Amino acid sequence: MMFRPIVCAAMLIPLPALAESVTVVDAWVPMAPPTAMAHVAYITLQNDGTEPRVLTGVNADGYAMSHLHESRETEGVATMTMLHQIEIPPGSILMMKTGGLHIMLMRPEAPIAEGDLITLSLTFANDETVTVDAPVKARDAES
Amino acid sequence: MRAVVIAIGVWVASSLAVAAQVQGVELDTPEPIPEFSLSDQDGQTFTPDDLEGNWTVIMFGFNSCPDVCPFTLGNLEHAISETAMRVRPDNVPNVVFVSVDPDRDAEVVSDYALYFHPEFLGVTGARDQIDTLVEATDSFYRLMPPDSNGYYEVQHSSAVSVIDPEGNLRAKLQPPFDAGLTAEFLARLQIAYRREKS
Ligand SMILES: [Cu+2]
Repeated sequence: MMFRPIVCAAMLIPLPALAESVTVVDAWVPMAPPTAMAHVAYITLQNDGTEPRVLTGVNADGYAMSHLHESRETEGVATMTMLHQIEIPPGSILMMKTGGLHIMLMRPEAPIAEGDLITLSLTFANDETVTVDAPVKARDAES
Repeated sequence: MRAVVIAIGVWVASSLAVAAQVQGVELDTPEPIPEFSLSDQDGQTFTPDDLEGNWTVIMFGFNSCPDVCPFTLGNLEHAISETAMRVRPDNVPNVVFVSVDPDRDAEVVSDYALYFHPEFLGVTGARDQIDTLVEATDSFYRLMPPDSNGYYEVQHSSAVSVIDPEGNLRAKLQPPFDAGLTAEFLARLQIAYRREKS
């Protein structure tokens, strides 16, 4: 439903980020127990371009490592696998959410609090980098 | 899977609500939980004695699981609150989070569980003790090989185990643990248990 307004904005105001055709529609980090050694970020990306875009990596301020991950449940067993890339076909939206694609933020330097902003730098296959500040929110605030 | 005969029960809220169903697997023959000893981060033990006289829900996981485990624990929290409205206070199950990753979690496992509910218990322990409980509940986990940074993933069963007040495994519940339907399942399970005992 966000699709149309953003396309219009892109035509009227050719901002550099929009010229690259991938937009971060949403980004957030759910609150986590203070002792958690890994956090997670969920982002929604929209590809308004005519070419497929490939997300190849993430860097998050305040974490030792960040990986693209996918959770899966196979025959009652929950697994997480690291992905080396995620393709976003032209005209499509990639929405990360619990139990599927996510950004795994490992070894936080400090506990997080609601309202904190986690800066994520997303790297794409064409070497483009898109930066977004993901707010920390209560997990119930999802949906 | 051990060779136990199980009856699969699917409770559906309405014929339309396909997504909103709880999948409970009730064992035909309850399986006793053997001796084991785990402990919380302060050294407080968790043994079969703690299963006596109250219902217990056991979930396996690990703390470095920010995507699925918090979702499961959050849903379980809602489900247990809902159950508390339907059963007598002393029949509200204790929820125990068992970390299968003691190397990373032993110091913080209780804090992790408490974050989701002030009465959730978080325990872990020696590998053979974890394995005893995993096997007794027909559960599964596997530590994956570490990467070049020493970081490793953990695979684990997503189902939780329901233990009756005599320390017998009586049912398994599959996620997503819809609050109302899970409460309904647990309440029915308790009624069936009391009927069996009377
Ligand atoms: Cu992950």
